[in-house]
Amino acid sequence: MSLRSDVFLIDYELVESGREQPYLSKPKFRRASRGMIMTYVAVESLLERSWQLKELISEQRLGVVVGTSQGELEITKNFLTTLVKSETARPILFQNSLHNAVLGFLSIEFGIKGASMTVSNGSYSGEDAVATALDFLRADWCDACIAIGWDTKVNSFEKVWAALDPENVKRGEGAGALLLVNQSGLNRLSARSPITRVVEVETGGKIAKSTGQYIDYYDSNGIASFSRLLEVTPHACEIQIGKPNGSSRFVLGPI
Amino acid sequence: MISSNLNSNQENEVYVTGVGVVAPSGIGSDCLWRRALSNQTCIRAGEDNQFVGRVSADNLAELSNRIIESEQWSRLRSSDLDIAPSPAHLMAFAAMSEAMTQAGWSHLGPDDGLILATTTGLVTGWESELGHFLNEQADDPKLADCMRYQGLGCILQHLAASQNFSGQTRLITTACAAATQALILAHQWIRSGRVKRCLVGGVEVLSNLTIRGFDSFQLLSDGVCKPFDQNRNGINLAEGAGFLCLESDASPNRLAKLCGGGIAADGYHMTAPDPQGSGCASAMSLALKHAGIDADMIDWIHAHGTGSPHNDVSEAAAILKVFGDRGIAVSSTKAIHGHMLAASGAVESVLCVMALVNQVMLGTAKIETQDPTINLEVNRDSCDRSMNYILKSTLGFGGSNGAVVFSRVTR
Amino acid sequence: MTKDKDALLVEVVDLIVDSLNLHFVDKSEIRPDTQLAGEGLGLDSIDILEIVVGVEKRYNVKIQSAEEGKKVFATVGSILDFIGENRGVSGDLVQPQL
Repeated sequence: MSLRSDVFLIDYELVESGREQPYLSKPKFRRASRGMIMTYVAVESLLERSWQLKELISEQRLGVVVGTSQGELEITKNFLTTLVKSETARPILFQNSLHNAVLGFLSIEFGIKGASMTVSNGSYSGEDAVATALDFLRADWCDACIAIGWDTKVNSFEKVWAALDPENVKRGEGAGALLLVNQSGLNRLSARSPITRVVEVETGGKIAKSTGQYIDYYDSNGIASFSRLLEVTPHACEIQIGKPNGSSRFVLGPI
Repeated sequence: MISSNLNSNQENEVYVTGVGVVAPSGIGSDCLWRRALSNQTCIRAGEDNQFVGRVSADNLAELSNRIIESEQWSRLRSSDLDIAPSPAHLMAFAAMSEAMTQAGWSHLGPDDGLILATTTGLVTGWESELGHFLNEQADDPKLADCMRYQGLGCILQHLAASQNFSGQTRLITTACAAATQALILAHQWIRSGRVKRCLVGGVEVLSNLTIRGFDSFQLLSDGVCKPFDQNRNGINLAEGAGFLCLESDASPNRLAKLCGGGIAADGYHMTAPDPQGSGCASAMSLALKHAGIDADMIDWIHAHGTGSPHNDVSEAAAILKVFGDRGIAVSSTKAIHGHMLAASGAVESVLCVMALVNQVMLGTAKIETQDPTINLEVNRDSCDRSMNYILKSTLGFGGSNGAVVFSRVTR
Repeated sequence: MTKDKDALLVEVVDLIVDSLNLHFVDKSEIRPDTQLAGEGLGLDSIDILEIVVGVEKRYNVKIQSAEEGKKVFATVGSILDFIGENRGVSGDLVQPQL
């Protein structure tokens, strides 16, 4: 497959803060972070709607890419403060503090055993997850790939971020997930018609504001903004998202 | 940005043309190579009595002097006046410079790529402040200052700014498999024509967070680690950086060919590897498939071999699954340089490249009595060996795995 | 100095349930013969490490080896025995910070 091979968006799911609440008391999530639960809910919803995906695509051909800017900052803070206050290093907090913990959790819960990766790049972390999923699908490393962007707010840090950011950027929290397939994945899921074709994801300070759909929604999760814009403009040829230090652009194509 | 040659169906081959290392062995890939050749460990007991691989204070001071006078640092300073070099900057800049100098790259251009792997980044700059963090101190300007660089993406942005680079970048944080995955992604980028050349690196620093965290898992060895030994009792954490220059053009600087790699997940446990080595075996099989070679063409496996009881058993099971019991030679160099977590795949890939160039199979320091349950042909001492293909494997927390295949180039 | 064993049982059960967020478990059903792993509480190795850390800190005791850890952290009762035999070496009870 080449760089230009088609990648299709089958479905997407946005999980905003609050939706994790009913899950917190379930035994399965007793050790899970809010980030793990929000991403879990997003993937669960995608898989529930794409009936048979797990039957039609083997677990080795299902990939996942997780993008997060700050990762488990709250848990990292808890680990380090417990360490300082009581000289105790708590294993569960350490395990959950890793950037890759969400990926490990999803991989276990949903039996995802294909190409999988965690990426991070500030406010472009969600975009980089989608770009990586395109790479995976075009390289034929998997037939379907779930691209996830997530970040959670840490209330005790809001003042810190405000001090660092004179523009007082709105910081959101939540998880967004896109179910992407290549041509062979699409053939397998023949009952599903794709929403759009994703040609390219570009990021950085050098993208000029264009005539495409543009939104100034500042958060570290471009997938969330992308999904919101898709709601209002499903036939867009490109979607552009404003960022504190530039913008990102999802180039879409006809099916 | 998409360059113009992308419509061609011809797939590019990928060569390593430069390598760079900063490790507990010192500054430069040669220092590490010499240590590896003679099976000499760089692991020492630290102040807290943990055995770790630390880059010496003298080395860091030298790198600090070097970096402040460098053109790269002044470029970075012009975009961020307040920045001060952290150990991660020092190691990454030096390893990057060494690799680029060897490859003859003066700078990164718009058609190039930059992929970095880390799990700690600039953590040493903020972890002690964060540890004392209490709600009532939330507006302490000192806290805000050090939290500026909390995101792992910062180090990638700094490296890019130091090169005035605005091309394709990616930061991979898939635990200990991160740098291996970075090489695999870079291979794909070049092969598909997305980029012409790609600089790939990993950097990891010793931190309270990782030392105390791994200690809480009872994963740290009480001495120098002993990969594949029956008395092994844990790993040695280490710090360092490894960088590789990858490019497709037939260059006179070719050191080795990166033939391909594979990525797969266990889906088994948050931190422990699958004892059957399922994900690790899948990654190795995929690496062979993408490299277009059979298992019996591999001459040597440079294993992850951390010396933790579980890793070595799991990895051995994976190797047996893929390579059978033909007795393929396997080594781990962890007892020499320690475990650099996300950077391990980069630093150890540099050793693989140098092994191919020198046609030397490295040994496995500190092994005394091989674990009888590990049915591998562990190579103990470095020796001359004619080798065409080497496989490098890595396993990481979260059940993440990556494996790459390198081959010899005739020059 | 040894506490009444019933009181210690309550303390250790609280420590296990609270540090592992086992809020759905009926504390009164956890008895000295309850196994931590498998059929008992179904805990995994990370859970057990978490309890090791909590018990070591609270009762100022130290597990010397992985083998000892396996024996001590097999059942709730074996934890109680270990604490009874080893606690108070330094005299002071360290308050938990979990």
